[in-house]
Amino acid sequence: MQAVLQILITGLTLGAMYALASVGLALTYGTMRMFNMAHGVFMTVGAYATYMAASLWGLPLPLAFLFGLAAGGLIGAVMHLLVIRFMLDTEGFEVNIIVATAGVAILLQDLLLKYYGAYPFRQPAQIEGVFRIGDIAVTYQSVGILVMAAVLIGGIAWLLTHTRFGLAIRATAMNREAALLMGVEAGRTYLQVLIIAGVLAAAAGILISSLATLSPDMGANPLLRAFVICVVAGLGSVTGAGIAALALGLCEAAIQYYLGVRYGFPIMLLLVIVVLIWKPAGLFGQQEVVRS
Amino acid sequence: MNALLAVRGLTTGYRHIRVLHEVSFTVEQGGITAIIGPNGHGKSTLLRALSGLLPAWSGEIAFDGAAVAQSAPGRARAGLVLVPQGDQLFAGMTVEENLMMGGYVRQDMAEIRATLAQVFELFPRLKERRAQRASSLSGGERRMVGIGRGLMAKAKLMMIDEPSLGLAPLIIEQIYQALAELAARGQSILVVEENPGRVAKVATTFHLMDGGRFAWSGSSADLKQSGHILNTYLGGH
Repeated sequence: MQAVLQILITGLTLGAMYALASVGLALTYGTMRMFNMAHGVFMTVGAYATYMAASLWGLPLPLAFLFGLAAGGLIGAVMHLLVIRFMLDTEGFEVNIIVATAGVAILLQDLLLKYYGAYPFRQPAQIEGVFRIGDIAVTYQSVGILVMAAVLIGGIAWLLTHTRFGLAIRATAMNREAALLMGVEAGRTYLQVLIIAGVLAAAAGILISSLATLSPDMGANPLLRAFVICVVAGLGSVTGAGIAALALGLCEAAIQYYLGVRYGFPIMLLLVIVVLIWKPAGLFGQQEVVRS
Repeated sequence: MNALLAVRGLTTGYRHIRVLHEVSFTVEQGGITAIIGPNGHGKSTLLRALSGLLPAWSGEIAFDGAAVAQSAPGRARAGLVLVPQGDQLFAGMTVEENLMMGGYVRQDMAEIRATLAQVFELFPRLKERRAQRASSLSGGERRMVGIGRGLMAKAKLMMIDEPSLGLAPLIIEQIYQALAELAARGQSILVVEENPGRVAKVATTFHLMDGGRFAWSGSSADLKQSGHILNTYLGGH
């Protein structure tokens, strides 16, 4: 019982961070058919921005957190305006954009390395303290992570389903040409999507760095996991990515508890392979059905 | 009176293959204009070019007295709306969400709701299925959503690409009945159809497209007298 509870808490905390990391990636792929290799660096930028605001400028934590989110959204917008905008609708977009965003990722990562150095900083955005459920120690930090992820993902889900602009984003994802015919400016929708993805990635980065440390390459590992989650969920499925993230978080926590930390990721990958053999389009992916 | 849509010397195509050759025609306010002709001769291409999905190589398109916007969304906002071939619904959205997307170019929520009520009146079936996902509908219902979504934009000119495509004869009749009703209320419609038999009863003006050009144009009275021309292009007896 105690073990189950422990796994549940660790797993949900992990899953919440994975969900934050992968939902934005799924949204970008779903609407733009674009694998954003810079998504991991969005996380890093968010984490460093919060660190800078809290440690160097001495802003209070909530403000520093918001500053980090804003920085993530800003970097998403800038990347769209300076790079992606010009590549949309060109031949070979789906492949070229991977290379281009990977280039942006390398550039940003090296800029961070030059500016901050490779020394792993401690993320000041921490909530100290522990409370107990029975024999289990639960940190306020993991509660904070869960609440933060739930609020952000819930907020985005509400935006996508209940507002005009959310409807336009979903329409563009489902059928771009039809959305154009309805008067939706695809360019503006893509900009909004990248801002949302940037904000979510930044939140993931801040939360992940609060458990580990800050380093310029901290985005690489979560990005890999986010990719895996998106593939398991079915490329472009946003709800699916959230569910798959929680499931994989729980799985990983269980494996780490019973077998050891180093087996967590390899066994997760094994599970992914099994899932893809059984359901090639992913758990929530839809095989393209063309009806006319 | 100024024409609602005036096209002059429109030429376009895909990659380096020219499909339309200097097409010129006008559409007057009110009534149904039909573009008929065999498959693969540029009817749909013409509608795609008019909607802005396919860039024109040369030629001019004037709509409602002004040159049209460059982009498809811009033209939709101006009231030139295309109901594309094969419906192109938002499969993961409900019927109502699909219809509401059709009203995306409009701002006034009360007016949009009023149009939604009109669409439900025209296609009562859609009201029953309003909360159902578009992907779960039958072919006829999908077509109704497609046309209803076009109506939601309150277009000045609604262009419909093959409204009878893939439907059973009984459903085709229902769809055309709805179009006739709309035309009677003053909606201007430009419809593309392979077989003139289906539109002959409702349309007032006809253009026969062959090889990317208009081979014949005329009114419904002309159409009856020119049966031999149509037979030459479309087959029949």
